[in-house]
Amino acid sequence: MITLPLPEIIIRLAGINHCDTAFAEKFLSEFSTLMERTLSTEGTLHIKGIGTFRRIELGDEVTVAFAPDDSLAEAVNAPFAMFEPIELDDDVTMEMLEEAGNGENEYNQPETEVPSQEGMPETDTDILQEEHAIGNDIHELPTSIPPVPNHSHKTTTAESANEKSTSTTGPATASNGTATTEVRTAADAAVTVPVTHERIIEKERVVEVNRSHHTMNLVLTGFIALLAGLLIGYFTYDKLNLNNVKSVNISADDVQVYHQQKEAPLSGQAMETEKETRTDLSADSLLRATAVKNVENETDTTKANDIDAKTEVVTDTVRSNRFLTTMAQQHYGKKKFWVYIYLENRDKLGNPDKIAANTIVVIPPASKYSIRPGDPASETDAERQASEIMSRYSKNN
Amino acid sequence: MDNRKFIEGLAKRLGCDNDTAMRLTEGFGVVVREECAKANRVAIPGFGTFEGVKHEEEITSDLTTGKRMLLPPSVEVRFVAGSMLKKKLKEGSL
Repeated sequence: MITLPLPEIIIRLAGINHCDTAFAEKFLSEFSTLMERTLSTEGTLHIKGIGTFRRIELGDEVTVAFAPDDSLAEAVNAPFAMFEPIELDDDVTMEMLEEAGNGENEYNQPETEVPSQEGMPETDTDILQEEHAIGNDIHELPTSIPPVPNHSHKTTTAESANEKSTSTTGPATASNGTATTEVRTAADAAVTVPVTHERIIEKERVVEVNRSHHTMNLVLTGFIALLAGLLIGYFTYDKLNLNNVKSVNISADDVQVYHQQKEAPLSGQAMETEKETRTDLSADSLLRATAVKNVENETDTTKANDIDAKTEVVTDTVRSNRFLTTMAQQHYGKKKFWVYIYLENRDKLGNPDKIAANTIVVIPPASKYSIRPGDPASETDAERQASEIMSRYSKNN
Repeated sequence: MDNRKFIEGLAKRLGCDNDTAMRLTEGFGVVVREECAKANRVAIPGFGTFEGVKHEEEITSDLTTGKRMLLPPSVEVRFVAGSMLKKKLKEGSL
């Protein structure tokens, strides 16, 4: 830290205000005297651009508290204005950051010097020297830019420390170690911007870029997967038979049923539904809609009778998630009636709890076994037959 | 005392107009600003010293969130009253 001596302050003031040094000296004297008197009499003093001074009494001691003006605080911190606090992981220490800084040369940058804010020369001699230098520079423009040395933060700090020690050796010995005032050098005037902070910001940028790439990759992968799924679904939809409701023959029967219903007198809600179906659906969609509607209205006894009237055989396939009870629920409206499906196919089923997957079973018409969903007698009968069958296989086991 | 009154008093003591006194005060502020930004000191004998104290980057814990933060470096401007000023203020308060 260098202390700017009074003569240099006076010269700087005279240079800034374009006045003579005597007037600048007088100003400084009056400035300090007036501040001192104001603090004595009023206790506080605010000077724009500098700050607020306040007299404080601590027992016998009297001192001055100082709060810098916002503009002054911002100006002195301007070299660090681009930095923000960075959140760290719990296990990161300052030593780790420094070690990482020493190990990663790609982030090491030359020491940043803070330029003089006003760019004012310090003395009249400096002004003359700068003018002379500018004149020479006009005639001797450099042909190439000299390479910038790649110093690490610690190296530059050490170098500046060396420079400081060498530069202060002469005057310090001359003044016999009074050492309160040091000679200013260009190296000492620089406030270093730490490399660690810049490096972390740089790392964060890299991480952000990687993160955005990762997100884009995820979106692209998802899009490709969606396309592939659509293509696979398009080509395998017919083979999979995902609906697993009826075969094409049944749909054709349903068309027949539909015609029968049309001829038969319908009443109330059924008639309205039929009208809507007739007006809205084309021939192909009518097939599907009627089939689905058949499934939904299984509980309706009228529908059950219509199914009874059919001569075609209705089949279904046992799967890992589709059991006799599931089929009974779908075809008859109650799971309890699974026993009739079993009875219809008993010659090829065996134990009802151990039916192999992909076994095709015939769904008997409801009238064949007097299946009446909602009728307690019919349900009780189904339960009784089911218990008989189950007891038979439990005995066998 | 506010800035306006201080400038008026300073102009009266210097025998110049308020604008000149204001420009000189602002000039002194520029000197303080430039030197403190370089972490140097500006000493006015008999009055006190302005100094820029640089705080290196440091790791602190946020008391509200408990998260650990790496704070950037900063420069704090301090004023250290001179012994003469302290003595006069003490005499003035008696």
